[in-house]
Amino acid sequence: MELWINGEMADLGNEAIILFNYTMEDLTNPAIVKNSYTQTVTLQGTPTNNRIFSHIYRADRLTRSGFNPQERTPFRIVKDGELLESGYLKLDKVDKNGAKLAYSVTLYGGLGSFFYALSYRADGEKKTLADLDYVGDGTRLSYNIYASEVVAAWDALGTTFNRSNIWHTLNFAPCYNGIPSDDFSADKAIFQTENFFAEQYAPYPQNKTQDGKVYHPTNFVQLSQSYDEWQTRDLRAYLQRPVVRVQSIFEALKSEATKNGFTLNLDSSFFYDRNPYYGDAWITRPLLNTLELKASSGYVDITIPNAPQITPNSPSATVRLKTDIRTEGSVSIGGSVCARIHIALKNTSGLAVGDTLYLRDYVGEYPAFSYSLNVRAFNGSVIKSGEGMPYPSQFIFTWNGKEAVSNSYLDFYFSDTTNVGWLEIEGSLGGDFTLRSTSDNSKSYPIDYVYLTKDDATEVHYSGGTSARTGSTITQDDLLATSGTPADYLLSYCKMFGLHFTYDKFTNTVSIVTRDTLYAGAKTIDIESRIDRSKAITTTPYAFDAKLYDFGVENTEGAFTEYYKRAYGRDYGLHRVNTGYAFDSSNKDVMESVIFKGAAMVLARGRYFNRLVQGGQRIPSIFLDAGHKVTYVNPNNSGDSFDYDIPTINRSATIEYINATYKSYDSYPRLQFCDEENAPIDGEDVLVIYSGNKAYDIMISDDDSAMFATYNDGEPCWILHASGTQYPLPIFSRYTMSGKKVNVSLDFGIPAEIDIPGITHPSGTTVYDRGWAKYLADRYNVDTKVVKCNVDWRGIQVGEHMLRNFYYFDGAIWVLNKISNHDITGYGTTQCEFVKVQSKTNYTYGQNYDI
Amino acid sequence: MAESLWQDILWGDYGYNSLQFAVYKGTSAQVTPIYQGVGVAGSNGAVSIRLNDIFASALKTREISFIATAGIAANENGMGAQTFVVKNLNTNEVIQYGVIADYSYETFSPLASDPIRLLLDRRQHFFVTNWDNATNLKIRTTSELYSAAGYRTLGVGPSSLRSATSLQVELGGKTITYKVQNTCADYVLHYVNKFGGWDSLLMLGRCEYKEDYQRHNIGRSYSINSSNSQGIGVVTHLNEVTKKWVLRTGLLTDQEASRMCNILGTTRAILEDLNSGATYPVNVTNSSYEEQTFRGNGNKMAQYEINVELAQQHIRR
Repeated sequence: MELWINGEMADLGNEAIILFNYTMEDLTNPAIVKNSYTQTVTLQGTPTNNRIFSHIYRADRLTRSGFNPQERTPFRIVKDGELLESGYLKLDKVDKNGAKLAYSVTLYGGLGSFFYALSYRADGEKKTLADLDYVGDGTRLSYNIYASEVVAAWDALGTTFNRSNIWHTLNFAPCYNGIPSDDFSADKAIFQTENFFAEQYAPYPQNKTQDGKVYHPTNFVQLSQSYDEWQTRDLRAYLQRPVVRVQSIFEALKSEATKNGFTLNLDSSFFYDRNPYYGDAWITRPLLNTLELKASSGYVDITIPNAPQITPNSPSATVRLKTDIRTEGSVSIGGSVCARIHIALKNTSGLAVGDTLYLRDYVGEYPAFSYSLNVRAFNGSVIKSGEGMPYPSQFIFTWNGKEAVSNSYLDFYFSDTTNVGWLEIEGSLGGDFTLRSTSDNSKSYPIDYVYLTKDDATEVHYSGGTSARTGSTITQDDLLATSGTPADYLLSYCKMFGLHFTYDKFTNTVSIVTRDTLYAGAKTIDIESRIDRSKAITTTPYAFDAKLYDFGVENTEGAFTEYYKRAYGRDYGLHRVNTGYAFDSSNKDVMESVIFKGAAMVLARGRYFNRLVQGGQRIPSIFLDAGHKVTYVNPNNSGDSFDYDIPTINRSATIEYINATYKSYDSYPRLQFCDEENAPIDGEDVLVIYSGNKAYDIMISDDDSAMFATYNDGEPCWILHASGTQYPLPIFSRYTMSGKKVNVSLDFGIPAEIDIPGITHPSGTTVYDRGWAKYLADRYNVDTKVVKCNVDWRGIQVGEHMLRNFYYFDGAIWVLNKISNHDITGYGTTQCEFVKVQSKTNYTYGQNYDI
Repeated sequence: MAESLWQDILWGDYGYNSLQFAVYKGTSAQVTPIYQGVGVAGSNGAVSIRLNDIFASALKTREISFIATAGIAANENGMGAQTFVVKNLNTNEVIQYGVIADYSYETFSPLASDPIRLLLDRRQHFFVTNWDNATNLKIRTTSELYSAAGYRTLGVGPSSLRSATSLQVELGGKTITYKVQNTCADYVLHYVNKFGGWDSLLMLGRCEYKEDYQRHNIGRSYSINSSNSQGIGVVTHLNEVTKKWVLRTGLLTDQEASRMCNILGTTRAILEDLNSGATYPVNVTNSSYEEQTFRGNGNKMAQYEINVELAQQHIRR
């Protein structure tokens, strides 16, 4: 037998016996994937082996050429010219004892090296889903989060799968995410006062007089409590639950496999587009506002001219705020920018001054914004810090996708300053804009606020504000940096659905097949005369070791799943199998290491699932609650303000229920990712099925407003709209429906209680029913037994493929579950483990994924 | 001057905190290095790299080839010193080393021969290894003088050599003269001596050959339906054969016995069957060497048993 490492034949010592082990599954845990070859061998420090490992043991060695311990080094095992195994090896350690060296290496054959390739990068770091190539040409997924993008993503659903369409890989699932936490004022809102109160109050309370002064209403409301997005009807774009498509992950896994010298082959009897478990399946990711976006720090050098005063009586003047943006790489600036400036000027003549202020971006010829200054009324006085200016002096413009290079600038351009004696500018530039590296899209540097003042701030430091806001660049590095490796996801998925891996070492092809396919071509081999009767034959009457086998994944801690656990003593969606094993009362969690989580679909109920209509205006139903206040300010003195209690809705308002059948319920069920207090919970790694769209009466998806900078110190809050259009929101569910009945469920078991009125959950629909029931009924039969014996395999090539056949001996049909320590050089017989088969059809027709 | 591998070959320099270097096989630093490293200055301020084991992985005594079908074959095993180049990557300075696989822990001699008994059989192959420039090696019989160029077969080539009574090898001021005779020996053992060169010893004592068997049986089901049943319940499916020889040197003088460590400590040996002409790669399995003397042996000449095993796995199925 020869061991070839990196094209060179290694010296095998006497003790370096390479034994082959193949296992179909752990009988005590049928979901554990075991059929891979790994073997640890010790190679002596012969000159040849030292050369192969490039004297790795020497302390002065530099890895420049030759063996690299961080890379996967290919190996082949050959006997008599026949390839027995191939894969990659890892050097575990080198022991030096006197002059004697020994290299301990682990050989990852076939599947082992395939999973290794899906688990570790060349530098030894763990891979995540972010390391995969989803588009197929190396393009990294990236988008700027806007409401328009969310809508585009929803529009892309239901069309033929296309890897190059980002929204076929990433999308957004409307879920009950609870009241936003972290840098979000869920108890505040901005709204257009006149839209809600014009009909109710006469005269329209545009201005209120108090102590002889006239106050203006702001568009800012302090709500009496915190509300969530469904209650306010404000589906803020970055609060939508991101999801990643299972089919895209598998396509990307195929690319990753190819990159590593493998071919990944998917069984078409399961991996077809219409299969809800595959073609329509998605995985939830964390909410964008909880992501730690990759950020860096740097500074923006902002220069205000030393002499901001402009020449009196000149026909026009420009005051330039020069920004010198210096970061490590070139950056572009994007997002919505709110420039809030306070202008102090002196009108020397009492005549009208220039009436137009332009803001221009650095290109100059493209006016970004123009705003008419109403300063005529303030003749003859020095106006400072907004005095006499419309309060606040706020200008909103979009500065998106422009490359912000050094010496870029903003111009405050007055078209006519004939009568201006002098002018000073002091202000701030804020909003939710980001600096984004143009050379590396993965780097995004959100800036919370940049203050421009005349005197002191010539250099503004920013440290990456790392939470997503409107306009933030979301990359796959941010969104798909999973704690599990791609191999973890692949294994978890296959475990859940009872899929098996096979490996063809000649073509390096890994196939994922259903159990039915696995045994579809199985032969029944008579090994009556090959059983070694001179050695012990051990029969165990059980193929299991616990009374209860639990099929189910760990649940997210949503309000209903927690209630269910308390009420029923087991997890929501769990299927518990009683094996009849009477000598133990413990539970075995079969899906213990599965990375996916479960969640409950609920139909929310509450006082806000309706709309209030008054005078033709739709009013958010949160105005059923009293205690909301709107702030009125003195336009001449922003510090002079008072809060005004907004009256509750007039009794003449009518209520239209969103759900006509079940009043006070939401329109259709959603995944619940909030607890009983309506606080958000982690809702990642939940498998969901996209099952079409449904028109939903709602005030639709929003972006942050630059007005937040004015009213709420830049912190986002809700935007209350007076009207809304029906929009077909996508349904991401744990099941598909056939009428009022669940048809295909992602749960393992039928829940004892469902928090949705009017639907039923028949049997035959769950993952357990479709993928496991028949097979396990065969395994847990009272007549099932496990036999360990030695078999003479001479003349038969021993390999993983043998586990896919049936065997006949002693008058029964068996499957081969394990081959232990098979010595390829043919020394003696090999210990094998067989499991008795009750009916072959439970293996060959045991699954039902033809949905 | 070639360097022996048993000696530390140190390379380095003063004046550097660290020194990057690369080792190349051959005379040029143009090929892929066999090793690259960085040495750090020790407490004495010098970087000092031990190169022995780097060289050792790329250096060994050249294998011999039993091409001649009959007669004494004088195969000049002249590989000379192997050349390595060490390059200082800080300065690009290159230093060349000639290295030989000599583990004698003794003074270097270019003629890597240290024969135990100066006797050759006319049927045997003969090899001589020199660590020097091959053209300086001289091999002669009583009547002829040959340069070292090429490969000669005594007896097959110039017939006079087969009838020669002596063979003289000369290199670097060292001369070894062998008697050439017809002997009754069945075996001659070729081995790599401690200087890294090939020598041979005629086994003039009684030699034994034996095979050890390890049988692997399995039991299988069979039917017995008559007293003449041919059903086989126990099957020998594999027999591993270990071939062994006990070789006896014949009588040795004190001086000859003092050189026996060359054989008993060797890591490479080939047994030549002088009757059949067959050759067997073997491993010497003796675990120790004890120097015997005439006086220490009760006034008897020394004789050694050498246990060797075939270095191949033979099986029967």
